[in-house]
Amino acid sequence: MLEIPAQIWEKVRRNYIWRSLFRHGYPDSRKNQSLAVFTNVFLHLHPVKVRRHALAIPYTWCMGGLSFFLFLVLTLTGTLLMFYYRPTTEWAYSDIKDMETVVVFGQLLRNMHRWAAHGMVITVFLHMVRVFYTGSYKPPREFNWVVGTLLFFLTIMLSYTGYLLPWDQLAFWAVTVGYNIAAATPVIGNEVAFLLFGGFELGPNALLRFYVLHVVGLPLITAFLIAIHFWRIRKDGGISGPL
Amino acid sequence: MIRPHDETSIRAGGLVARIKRRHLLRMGFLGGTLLAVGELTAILLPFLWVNKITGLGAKVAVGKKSDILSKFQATNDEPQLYTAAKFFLIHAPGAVAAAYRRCTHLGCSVPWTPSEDQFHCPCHGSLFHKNTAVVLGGPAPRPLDLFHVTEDAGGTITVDTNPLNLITRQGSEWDEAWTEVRDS
Repeated sequence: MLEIPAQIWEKVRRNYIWRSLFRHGYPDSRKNQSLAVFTNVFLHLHPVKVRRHALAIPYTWCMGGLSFFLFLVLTLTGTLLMFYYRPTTEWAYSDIKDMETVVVFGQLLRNMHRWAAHGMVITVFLHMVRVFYTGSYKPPREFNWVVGTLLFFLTIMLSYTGYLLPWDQLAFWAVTVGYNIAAATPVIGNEVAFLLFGGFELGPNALLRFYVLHVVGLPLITAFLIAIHFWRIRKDGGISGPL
Repeated sequence: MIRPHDETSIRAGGLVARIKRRHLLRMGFLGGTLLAVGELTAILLPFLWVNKITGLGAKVAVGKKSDILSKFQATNDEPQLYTAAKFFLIHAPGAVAAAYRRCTHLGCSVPWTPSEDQFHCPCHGSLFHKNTAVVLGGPAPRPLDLFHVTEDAGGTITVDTNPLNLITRQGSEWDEAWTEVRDS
């Protein structure tokens, strides 16, 4: 009896499609363990082997990994929210209201998105603090520190652009402060604010621009930089060690 | 003529003959890519620059002067609100003017308060005069700003609501210099 599933399993593994997908054996030898990492397009950004000290929780607090996890949560929940949200001044506010009261699991998904966004700002900041206090920004990791600061800036900008989308009083006046900050640019302040927000005050254009930046522009740049960020860790010799 | 690399032609030929085919192709691809990226970058800012303004910033045709004046007469000079473009038409002494609906204190939208017969800002209590929109009380440092108004030959009044092109005012009385469209 027991040999039947074993035979089926063998048949699947010898199948042409299986062998073109997985070009290494079961990862129980050192060779296959290495192959499993660097023949996978996602895993190959990582080092094939991780040093023992890298697993120590008190050293990293897992803050980088948690930031990435929250980024994935935000991408998934955000994509689902897009099915019900319309970025126009007529609909934005009532769509969010409907999300809370009418859409099944809408309130859950919206709040996951909201709290993950707050959480990501915190974890990215703490990750940066850890990297600073462990001296991990020093050569050869100085390039990755620069990528990290860009990612911190992008996290803030993603939060800020998402802040406007509910189109309520809080969002409107918070982003109006941003408008005035942009308008305080020396010499060309009014032009900069007009260009960024698409008008002389917050209106339909500003809402649409922030929406496009929030759901397409900034996430694409962020994902691109995250890939480089992970790959640089491998190239710079894995995670930094204790001093 | 450009030919594959060989030593003889390099020594014999001039500048053009010295360019190898791979160099020409490389420069061609690089130049083409840079040109395309440059063009996209160059059109980005003009593309994002909004030409069609609605609401605040637009030139708003508010109708015939005679209609506006008869409405003022019927309502005892009550200011006429245009919400989207953020201004009130006011009946100043001898003039029809457009007051920007933005408190000169901290920028709240000032409402007309019929029961008090004046503008009363809900944020910090600034008060403005019904006809001239000058300060009657509260923390506002100067009268409400005015938009430029014009009247065409047919008697239609147009308000230019560009907030970067305002008439900023001082004082507590209507100044004749602020008059742009007469009420006669």
